[in-house]
Amino acid sequence: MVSQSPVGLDFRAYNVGFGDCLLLSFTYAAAIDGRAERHVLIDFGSTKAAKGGPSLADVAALIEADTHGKLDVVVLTHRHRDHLAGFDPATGGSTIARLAPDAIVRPWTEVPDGEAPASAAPSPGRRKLLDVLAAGNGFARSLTSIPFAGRLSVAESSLMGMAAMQLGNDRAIAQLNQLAAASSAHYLKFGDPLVLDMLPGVTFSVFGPPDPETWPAVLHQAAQSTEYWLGAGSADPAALAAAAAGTPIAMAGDAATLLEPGPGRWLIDRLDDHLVRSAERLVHQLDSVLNNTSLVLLVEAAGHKLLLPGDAEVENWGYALTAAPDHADICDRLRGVDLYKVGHHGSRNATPKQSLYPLLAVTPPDRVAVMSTLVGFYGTTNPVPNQALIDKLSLPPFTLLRTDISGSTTGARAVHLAATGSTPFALAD
Amino acid sequence: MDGADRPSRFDPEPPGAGAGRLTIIAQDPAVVVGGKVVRAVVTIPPDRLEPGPRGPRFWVVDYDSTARRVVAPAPEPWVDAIAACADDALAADPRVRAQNVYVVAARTLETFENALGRRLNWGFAGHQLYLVPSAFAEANAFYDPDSCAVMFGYFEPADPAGAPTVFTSLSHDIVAHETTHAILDGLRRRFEEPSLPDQAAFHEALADIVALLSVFSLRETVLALIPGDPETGMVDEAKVTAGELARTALLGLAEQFGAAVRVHGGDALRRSVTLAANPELLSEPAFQEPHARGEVLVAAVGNAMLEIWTRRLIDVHAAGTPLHRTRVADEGVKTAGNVLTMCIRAIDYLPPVDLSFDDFATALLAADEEVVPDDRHDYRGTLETAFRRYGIREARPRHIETFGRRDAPTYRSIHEEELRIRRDEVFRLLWQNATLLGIPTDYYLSVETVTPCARVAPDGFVVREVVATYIQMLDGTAAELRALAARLGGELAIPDGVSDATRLELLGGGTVIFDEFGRLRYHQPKPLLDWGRQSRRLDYLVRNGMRDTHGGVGYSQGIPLGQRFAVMHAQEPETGETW
Repeated sequence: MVSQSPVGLDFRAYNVGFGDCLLLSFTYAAAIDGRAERHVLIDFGSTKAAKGGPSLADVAALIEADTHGKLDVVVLTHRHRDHLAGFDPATGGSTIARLAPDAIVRPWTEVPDGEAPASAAPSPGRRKLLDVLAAGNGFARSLTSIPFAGRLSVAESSLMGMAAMQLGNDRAIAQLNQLAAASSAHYLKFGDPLVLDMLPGVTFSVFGPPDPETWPAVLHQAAQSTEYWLGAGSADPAALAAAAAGTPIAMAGDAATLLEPGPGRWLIDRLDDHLVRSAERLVHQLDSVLNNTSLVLLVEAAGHKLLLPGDAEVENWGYALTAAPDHADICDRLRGVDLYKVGHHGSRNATPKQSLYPLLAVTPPDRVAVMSTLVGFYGTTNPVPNQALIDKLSLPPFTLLRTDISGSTTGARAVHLAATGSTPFALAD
Repeated sequence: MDGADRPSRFDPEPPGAGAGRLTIIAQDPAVVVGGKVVRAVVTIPPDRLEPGPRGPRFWVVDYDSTARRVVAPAPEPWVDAIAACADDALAADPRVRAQNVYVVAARTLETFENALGRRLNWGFAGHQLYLVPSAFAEANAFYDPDSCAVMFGYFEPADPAGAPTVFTSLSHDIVAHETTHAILDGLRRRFEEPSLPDQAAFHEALADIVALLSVFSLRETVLALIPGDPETGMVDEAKVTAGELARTALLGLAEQFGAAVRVHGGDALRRSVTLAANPELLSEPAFQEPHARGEVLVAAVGNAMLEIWTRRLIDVHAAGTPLHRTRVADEGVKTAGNVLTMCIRAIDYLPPVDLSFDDFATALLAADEEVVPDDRHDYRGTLETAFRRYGIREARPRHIETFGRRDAPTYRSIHEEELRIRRDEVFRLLWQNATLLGIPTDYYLSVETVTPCARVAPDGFVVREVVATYIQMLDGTAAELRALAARLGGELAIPDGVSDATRLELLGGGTVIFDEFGRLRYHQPKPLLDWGRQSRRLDYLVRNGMRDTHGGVGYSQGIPLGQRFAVMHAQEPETGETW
């Protein structure tokens, strides 16, 4: 049994809108323990459904059908809503539970509270990152509970959108924790081994996230902002809420003239507007911190190599590609990748232009780039997906497939690719 | 002292407040000497003050948007609140913050006005810059032209527990830094236009230079912060080398803030003078972000200042003997005052758009030569060498010869009096001499500012000049502009990711200086049709995602309200890894 290797691979990127939901299936020549197939679900979330596309519950049903009722492994690259909302029992979580995965793989930052052994107290660098993540989550939660009155300004709706994205979905995480408790749980960082016995002939390499202790650059944003989160309570959500609710301004001494109509009042109103802008800036930074906790996985099976980087941004990639002791070897191995799940829905800084793109642009082999994305939803100054990246990935050796426009119809259910030991990835179905 | 030296604007300040004199916190509440927060008593401009304080140029509004609380304006702003306040009560008293921001900001403006010899406008329509001393709970401070305001945040330091709240409004360096942003914005409005990284970096660098060097106007503070024994009044020779002085609080920026956020292990927020000289620094990826890049210019100026300072000390004492601390302080005060004046005077000679550090070096040397031909302490030579060591090369401006040349400018139909005050007359002069000046008249051309100015030279004579700036603009689609460049024999490189239909805006312009007879003396051009510069600019803007809200390149920064100067913290550096 152990000597068996997959003879075929299927890769599905479900059209969840703005999010990721990837199913990697392996086919074996003969049944092992009664099944000749194995299934790995990588992320399941969305913050904005595609127009005419399936709902998360619909996607869960598709997963159930495509896996024939049994899921072997679930990977959560990081805890953003667009990667995990589908695990909420209210959407697709109950279905996933029914598929009874045997292993749950998550980044090291996701060890549930109270489960880490006391002897494994995090190093200062890791502690700092965890604290920032926790404080940031609280910040996002407070923001999303602000009852803005009436129609939101552009800044307010942008802020609320980003905060909602970061909001840990408690029910989804609880569901994953429950599944992890009932199976084998893996919490990984760069270089950790990942051996999954239920997937014979499939090897995994973990290229991210780097340990902040050895690669403080991954803390880049967090190091800058830790005081915001931990010390300052800056752009205090309570202040935003008070401003939104029109709570009267308190006075120390007789400041009544400043609150009457006039230049002073004009300035005070503008300062209130700044709260929203400041909060937005901070939330944006937290977004990057969380993205950089993404697992970066290289999966090798049946002569194929798949690169699945979640939403890792430059700071996460930097270690594996430029600084790790074996980075030259890693770069060599990445040259052979023939399926690249485009990082972070095609954003400008998740497919590093100088250190990653050139490795993937060499020929052979021909490559499929799969982008799970939705246009016009995320980012105003730097819209996602980024057009320059799309242009590059549309040229040989790449074939770019997008969940939002692949095939001839919008609202398609998934991009589905299949390969065998002797044939490259090609559109299936 | 050497009476033939440049007169310093920084007179020694006798201690003790009197009429028109108020106390400020000399550095910030973390800079303590002999167990006491270092304070300084300074003269404030003799303006009528109203509660706030509120004067003709500044208006303090103490509104805290995080706490939603407004503090009544200080009722008698001429009463010295800081002198009367104990050290441990400084952070708690709103009158202290109000007075500190008002006085430091007013002195910063005064420093500029004195160096430039005229009153300065703000970069917005109003006359009063709002100062908000506890604007929000955030480790941040910024100038927001749209709000006509500088906002100062406050925060609780993470460590140690129970440490007092850090108010950025109590930091001399931060107040001077942010006020400088506002002043420079008034002098060169278009430095906010999207450009190559030097331009934003210059905003940061000048703000840091002013913050660092204006501390030297407080002689008693300088004396308190230089090394040595206050009892004997002497200091060891080895303690007053450039390297030793670079490590003092005098050459660090925002000490309390830096310690609280622990960016550099508890030192000042920035200590640019310790940046090792390297002519390749500016091309390294880590120095593409404006704050980091600005540090290179600060390092060049700061090190030149230290070199002149220590050289002057060598001149006045016997080797191997200790020095008088007062002498060390006095030489520092004088040197810093002169270098700061040189930096500020350079601004008039800067081009109005697409500024580079090279332009600044050029402007500084040219402007100084005009006013101080006799440079006996070799300020210019020292600065020039320092610039070069940090990879900043002087690119001489075009000096217009006024006679003896066939291509001398023509003044036909130009009236000298009109030239001093009217944009249309300057336009006429540019028009008559367009070929000589290399100004392509087929494209939008507008004279934006005409500024008469007067400087007093060390010889006592007044140097009068008129500084005028003009700009040129060209906008069109990428395809159109590329074709235009090709037709004119050039090549405009359109960056990856910019479609043919993308709208682009190109900027050019220049600064012209007329002497006291209304003759053209200098021309500092940024040609509109310099395709190499335009290509580099587009490439930089696109790589940094600096597009406007319609996806156009070169029009605006695409950065929301008030956040342009918002980050005391470094922004994401341009690593070359982004699309």
